[in-house]
Formats: sequence, C-alpha cells, structure tokens
Amino acid sequence: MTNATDSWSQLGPGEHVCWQVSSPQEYAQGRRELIAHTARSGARLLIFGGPADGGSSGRPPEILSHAVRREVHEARRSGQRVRVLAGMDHLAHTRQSLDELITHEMDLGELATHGGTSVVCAYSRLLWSPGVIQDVTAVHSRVVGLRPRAAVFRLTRADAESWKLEGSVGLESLRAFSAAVRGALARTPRARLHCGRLDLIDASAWRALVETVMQSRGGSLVLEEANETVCATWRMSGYAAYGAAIEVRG
Amino acid sequence: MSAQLDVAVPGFLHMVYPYAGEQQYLSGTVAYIEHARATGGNVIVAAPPERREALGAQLGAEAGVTFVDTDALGRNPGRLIPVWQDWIGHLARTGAVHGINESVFSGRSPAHYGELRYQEWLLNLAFAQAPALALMCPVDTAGQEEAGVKALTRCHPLLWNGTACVPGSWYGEDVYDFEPLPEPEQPAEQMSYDLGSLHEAREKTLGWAMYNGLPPARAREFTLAMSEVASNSVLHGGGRGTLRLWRQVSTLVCEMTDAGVITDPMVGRTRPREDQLGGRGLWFVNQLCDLVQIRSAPGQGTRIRLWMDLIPGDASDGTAHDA
Repeated sequence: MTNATDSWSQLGPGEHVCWQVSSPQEYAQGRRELIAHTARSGARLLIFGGPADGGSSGRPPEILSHAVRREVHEARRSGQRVRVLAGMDHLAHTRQSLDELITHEMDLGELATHGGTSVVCAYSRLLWSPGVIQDVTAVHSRVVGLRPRAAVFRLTRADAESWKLEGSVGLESLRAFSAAVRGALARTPRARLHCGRLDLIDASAWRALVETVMQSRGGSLVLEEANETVCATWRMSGYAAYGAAIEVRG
Repeated sequence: MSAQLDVAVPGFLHMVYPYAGEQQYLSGTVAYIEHARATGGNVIVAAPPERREALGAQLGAEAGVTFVDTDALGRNPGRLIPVWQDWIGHLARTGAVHGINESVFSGRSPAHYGELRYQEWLLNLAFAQAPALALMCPVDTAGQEEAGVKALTRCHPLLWNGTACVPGSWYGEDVYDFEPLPEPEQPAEQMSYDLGSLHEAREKTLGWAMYNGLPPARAREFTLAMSEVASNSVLHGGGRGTLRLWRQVSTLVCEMTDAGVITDPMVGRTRPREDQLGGRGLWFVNQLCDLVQIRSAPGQGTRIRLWMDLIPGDASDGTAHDA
C-alpha cells in the first residue's frame, strides 16, 4: 500500500500502522480523510500531536504516551470504537535512541492489540532520518505513504503471550531487531515467536538474539513453526550449548 | 628412502598413500592399521562404503577399528577438518589416534578437486598442535594423470610407502599455490551491494536461484550463504562489494568480491567454540554450500565463490576431473 487515502478504508481494528509523510500538505489531507472515514465508520478518532511541519514538541514523550493511553482507555470505557492518529513528530524526539523509540512504538502497539484500537503513527520524512523511519516500521503491522521504506523483518503481537516474527533478519537490521526483541521480552518474559513467515536469520542476528535473551534476566524465547533453514542455522550455530534460553522448533 | 617414522609420537603425521587397485589398497592400509594397533593407538577409518566393506572383511570383526561414513562430509571439502575434529575428539583423550582419510576424487569437477586438495594442505595447519594424530590418505593412482597425483602429494609432508611412513618428496610447506579462478562461461548477473542494499542482494539471489531451478529451501540456504559473505564485505571489506551470479551446467555459482583481506586460512573451516559468541558467518557458509572457494591476498582483495548443485550430489560442471 503506498497511498494513505486508500489505506484508511482498509484500516482494521487492532492495526498499528506506520504512515510516512512527505509534506505537511500530505499530512493535512490524510488527516482530513482519516477524520471523515472514521466518522463514517461510527468510531471515534483521537488525534495526538500536530501537523508534521518539521517542529517538535517540548513535552517528554513518556508523558504524551501516558496521555494517549489514558484517553484511549476513557474512550473505550464509554463503549466507543477508537482510532488513534499519533503525530510522532510531537510524541517522540528525534534525539531519542532507537531502543527508546521502539519501546515507545511497542507501547502504542499494545493499545492496538489489547483493545482493538487502530493506531496510525505519522512520521514526517522532513524530520526523521530514513534509517530511523525504516527501523521503526519493524514493530508496525503495516506501512503506508508514498514509496514507503520498510524494515526487512517485522516483530508484532500475535496474542497476549506470543509474537509474529516475519521477513529476514540480517546485518542491516540488528539494532532494530535487538530493540524489538528486548521490547517483546519486557512485555512477555517467556515469549513465543511464530515464525511461519520468517525466511532466514543470519549469523549476526542469531548472535544478537542470544545476547539480547541473555541480557534480559530470566527471559526466554521459543521460535515456533520455523522453516528448515532457520532450524538448521540454529543447530549449526551451537548456541543451544551456550546457555541462552532459546528453543527453535520446526 | 629415509628411515621409518614412528606414528605413535606426539604431533601430527600427515601422509599420502598412492596405490593402484584394491589389492594394493588393502595391503597398505592393513599394514598401517596393524602398525597402529601394535603401538596401542585408536584406529578410525573414513572411507566410501565399498572400501569400508573390503577393509572390514580383511580385518575381521575384532579389529577394534572405528569405521565412519564419508557421506558426513557432503560434497563440500570445506567440512573435512571439523568432521575429523569431531571423529577424533573423544578418541584422542584415550591415546594416539591413527586415521585413514580417503576422499573420493573421481567424478569431481576441477573446482571441487582443487578445494579438496587445499583442504588436505590445511589439515597440516588444523592439526599442527594435535597431541598424537596420524592421518594416512590413500589415493588411487590407477588411470590418473601424474600431475594430479603429484599435486596431491605436495599437500602431505609424509608418504606411506605400503609398509612404512617416510618423508614426502614434493611437500610444499609454506604457501599454497592456488589455481586461478576461471571466468564464468555464461554471462553473469551482477550488482553492487552495501549495507543499505543487502536485502536487495538477497532478493536478487533468491529469485535468480529459484528461477534457475533450485528448490525453495536450498535457494534460501544459498541466499543466506550469500548474505553472510556480503555482510563480511560490509563489515571487513571496505563497506561494499560486487555480487555475480551464473549457472555452470548443473551448478549455480555466486561470487562476491570486495577490498578486504582474509588472513586466517582456517576461517569458517573449524567449528566455533562453545564460549565464542561470534565468528559463525563463514561457518554457516561452509555448512550450507556444496563448495566454497576463497581467494584473498593483500593488494588483490577477496573473491569468494559459493557453489550449489541443482541436484544434491551432482557437482558436474561438464568438465569432470579424474585425478
């Protein structure tokens, strides 16, 4: 999907979408269309953060994030279906580390998973570096925008206890991968990863996975439905004898 | 002929045994095994099934010889060293180990044959610190070109003459003399890669491999191997490299070149230690591919070719080598 306007008609409950915005005009138009579409669908749209004009809010992201969660919970209590448009130019700082940003995004992802809320996170290409925008897409369920950049792997919620790991994980994704796995373990210390749509994990990514699990203090991972390449490289790595609490099942 | 050497002393004794026909094979290998047993050493024989059968019949059931299947190597000679390390691992704790290492040469392509010979040469480095290991490598010379046999003997410091171990005449100790890698006979697909285009290189390799008939699982393994080498280019080879892909009869070849230099000839050819967290990329490559050729030198950079047979076990590139 490349066009935000078309995307809103397909916006389903529980989706966590990364919208890569090229200009303030594009943001304004997409925002208007999302408002109109949400109104037609009978849901309520909560908008946080202003237009993606290249500026940045002075308020700490964690306070804003808390405010988003509070308002979503209040809206849900009133029985309304809720959608969120999160202007990340204001809800986060470009000076935040990728780890913090992905943690922040995974918090927003939890809103989507646990309440059926649709969350659209808008990132201005004028403000954020292409690499950062690409990395954060790894924890979104979908990416929209004109010619969007997307990470080559994706780690998203499957249910309360498990996650879906898709794509391929290689050298170019290590920082985002480690941050996403850390985030998953923080939320589900004994996490199961469904790997039915995972193509491969390279040697550097296996190492990153082992290090992340070992640093998680008690965390463990089970990779399920892994293809034979993933299973074979895990066996070849010899990491099973290294002491990391990782199990790989075909 | 020099004086007989004692195969029971500490260190690594690596000898070639040129023979012609089964009768000479049996007489030489049985003499070697009897010598080994006389010194109280463990004996392990890695040979094709028909050789194991013939030797087993000759030695009898109580011979105290461990037979292992060379099929464990697969087609890639790059797995020779770790497989031997595994085979001798537990035996080495109970005394000297005497091995027979027979690789199958017939039907191999020149590329396979060249790498097999290089592995024989590398065994001298891999086991230089072995507590007490003797490895005798029988080579059937029947119908072989003398140059091929001579090239193989250059990889062995010692010679088994059928009854005794003596110094070899042609051993080239210092530098291994690689044959130049021939240019592809077919036009090659080509692209440059860096960190930002690793995924594109993987997509290209996967699509090309499947288009050329590699089944999906093996195409994925080929792609992962390519990705490991390309990642090394990014990390150690100047940040970028060039990928070429071509088909050579029933084999797919993937080549990567970069500006880096690999100084450790054993890289990727020994099993990573349990306490070693990194260093698995080229190990994966050797375990996944049917052949790996690494050429690297200061001033010339690194060129790595990965081969994957379209039909597992069929490494024919149309120019089978009989040496």
